[in-house]
Amino acid sequence: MKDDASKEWIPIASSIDLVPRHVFHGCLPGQDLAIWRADDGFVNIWQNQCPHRGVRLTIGTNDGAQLRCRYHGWCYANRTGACTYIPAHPGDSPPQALINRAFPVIEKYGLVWTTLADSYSALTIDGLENKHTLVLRAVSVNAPMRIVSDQLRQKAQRFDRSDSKGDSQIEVISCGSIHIELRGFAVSPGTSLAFFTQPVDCDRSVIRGVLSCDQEPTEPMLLLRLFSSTLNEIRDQIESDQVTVLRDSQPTLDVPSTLPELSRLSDDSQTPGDQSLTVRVSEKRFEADGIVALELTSANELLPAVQPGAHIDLCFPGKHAAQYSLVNGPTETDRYIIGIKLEEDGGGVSRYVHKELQKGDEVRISPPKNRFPLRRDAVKTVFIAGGIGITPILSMAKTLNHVKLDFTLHYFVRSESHIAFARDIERLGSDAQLHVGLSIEHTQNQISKILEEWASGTQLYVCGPSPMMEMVKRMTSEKDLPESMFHAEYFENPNAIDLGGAFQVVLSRSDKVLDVPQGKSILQVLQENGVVVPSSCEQGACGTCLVRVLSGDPIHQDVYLTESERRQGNWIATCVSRSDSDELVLDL
Amino acid sequence: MNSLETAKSCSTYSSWHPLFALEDLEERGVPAYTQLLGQAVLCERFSESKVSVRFGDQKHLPNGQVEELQSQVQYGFVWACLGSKPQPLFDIPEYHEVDRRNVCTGVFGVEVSAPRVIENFLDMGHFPFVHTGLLGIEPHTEVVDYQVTVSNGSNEILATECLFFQPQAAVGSVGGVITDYVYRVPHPFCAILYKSCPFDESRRDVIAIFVQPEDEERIRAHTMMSIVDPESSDTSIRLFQQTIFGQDKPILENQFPKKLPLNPLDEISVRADRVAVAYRKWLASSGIRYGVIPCADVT
Repeated sequence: MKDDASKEWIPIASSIDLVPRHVFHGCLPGQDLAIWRADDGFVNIWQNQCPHRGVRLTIGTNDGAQLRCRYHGWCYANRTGACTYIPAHPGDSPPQALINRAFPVIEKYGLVWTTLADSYSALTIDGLENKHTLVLRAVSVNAPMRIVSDQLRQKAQRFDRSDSKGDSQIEVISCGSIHIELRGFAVSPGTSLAFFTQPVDCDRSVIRGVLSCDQEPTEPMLLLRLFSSTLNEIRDQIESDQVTVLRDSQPTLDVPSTLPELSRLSDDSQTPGDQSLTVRVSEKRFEADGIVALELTSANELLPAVQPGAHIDLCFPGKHAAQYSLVNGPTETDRYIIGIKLEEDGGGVSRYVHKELQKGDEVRISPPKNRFPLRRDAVKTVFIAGGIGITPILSMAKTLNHVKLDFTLHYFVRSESHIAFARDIERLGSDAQLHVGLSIEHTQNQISKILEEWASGTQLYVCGPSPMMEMVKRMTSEKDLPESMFHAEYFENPNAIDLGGAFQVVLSRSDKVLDVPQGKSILQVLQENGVVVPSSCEQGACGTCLVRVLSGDPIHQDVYLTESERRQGNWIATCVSRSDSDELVLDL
Repeated sequence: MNSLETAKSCSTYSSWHPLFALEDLEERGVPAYTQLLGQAVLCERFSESKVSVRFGDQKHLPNGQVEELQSQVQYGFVWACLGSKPQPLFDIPEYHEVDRRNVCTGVFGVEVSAPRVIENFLDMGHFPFVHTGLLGIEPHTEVVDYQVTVSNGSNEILATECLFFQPQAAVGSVGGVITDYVYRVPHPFCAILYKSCPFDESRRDVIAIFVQPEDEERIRAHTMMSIVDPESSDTSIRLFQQTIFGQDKPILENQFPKKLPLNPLDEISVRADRVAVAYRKWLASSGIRYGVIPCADVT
């Protein structure tokens, strides 16, 4: 018989094994599996090994949206298995490429199925389609899969418990190395029994049976008991036969020790490269005055995991890419949610989205990038959001709410009709406070009040219109609050950019000297000379075009680097910043 | 290659390894059996510090004598060496200070390799998750950058400026503090931790772990403390240490593979793992093959 088990879908658990917030330990030859169901019903089948220190994920915690490793608390997201948080480094966003190995999953006929094959087709078992099904209790057998399947075939007649004296009429149909089907039960015509033998390792297997009937069985418990006792008898017999075939040789199984996805990881690479995704607009809705919300889904791929504070680039042909923060909380893993404010004088993306884009349209986006990571080691977190700045802040607040950490969200809006994502905010309860229609002066008083309650161990995250962010930043430094507690994400650079003064950049690795004339940015000069530096907003807000400075005195004009990062002078935003020295040596 | 051949292929075979706490051996005669590098060994104690260690199968030499293994008593433990010409055992100067209390805090059997145990001992990141409420507590999870040096001369790893928020760092401490650790790895399977002493700011308490490799994937961890603490009883000090180790054991036994992979691509490390990365490199460059999955030889 051809051993094609690994090319087929194999049932590895019953649906009822995956109770809420539990992690089930599954096994296939050479592959330990951690199987868990998220609160949204999605079933994850992962390699049972944390990529960090190899601890079994089955001893971790399923919090309904993510699986947390028992050893160091690393969090892995539902669906993608991507690491979304490393508690030892709360201020850093984990590398996008840090992903748990996940296996394909199908939940059907009351069983959970996976395959180790690289390519596979849909799972359809004719005998079970459109029937009432009843999953039998799984029975573990200490015998190799092939012996178990053979014995099941040979002993199939025992499942007919009719009292008639005549020979049993059960028809046995082999449907592959792990699957047999029994038909023609005298007691209940129309009933058939499908058995699947799950190989566990070289000498252990699990028999999983599914009973299918035309009508819903009237006494399911009785049926279960009947078939279970027959299965147990068969198990006892197979095992007693096996005792004589003692384990002379135990083949060792090759376990891959390196995940191919991870071998690409370099030491400090945070960018996943420029692979873009095609998604479909599954919903476009009016969210508030001047703001629409988009929900983006992918029909055939899993969407890369979202870390709180992350954004995506939205790209339309002929337009500059625009960045939008994701509003997703940790439980929202099947779609991307963004809020887009109409900017009449912007690059045209928001106008296009508001006026042209339709539900069902395809859109090109970048995978999520996170330049606004959320620490989860604060004793208390305070969020200040203004207008459309609510989007990254909401994602963060949902995250802390999910893991039950203490926070307060202050949301400043012009009027009731400007409140975006009102339902999400309502769900945060008293942790979210709305400040509607305040004047500049009242806003300042309110923020001052918020900052007065500041206690050691508090972290502050701000996102909103530039004047508001500048105000909060100024007030924190006036109150002598440490710079390290202040986190802001700028959508735009409020400062006027001065491209005056010519200088030279020296590219140390490629051994080139380039002139940067008045009126041109370093980035432009680099691009004209074929030096590839990723860029995005091109106004010193997003930090995509940062390059390491080896020597020289940068004049920083961006709003991305913090004061202390500027003082250290190790990085420069090449799209806006310039040089005070005649020469700037860059690590390119 | 079996366990013994692996040990013989590197310096592990001719290193000192701990076998028993001296106080656990009865004087004059009752042999105690254990296993080292896959070999059965037995130990007898004759007086305060006179011990004899032999292979458990009692091979008789042609002259009728039984072959005796090299042994010594140090830091309250019996140490043995299966090979010849071992390097001298590392020094712990604090052990000899007269006002310190030296307490053997117990031996723990764990189904894992020796280097996995050492790496766990050197790790701060797991405190809030594994030793919750004692050595760490959420949300204080950050491991700030610390220094690691490998001094070739004395051939050991030193990690300094290791700061971590601890709710109850030691049995004598009350309330949370930022503890300041120094870690020292003077032997592939032994590590020493120096931590702020709650009774005397100018001194450091010493906690040592000496791992006895029974086999490549099974060990006994011997623990010892040398501390300045006039108040706590020996029992409460032991209990604290045993609580801590009891929390680590199930984690260690769920690590897979049981041997420590030395290829940096096999497991993902972050900045908090700097000392672990240094330890793995050091094992690789010292040619240690016991209890590890070596890198493919790069020439």
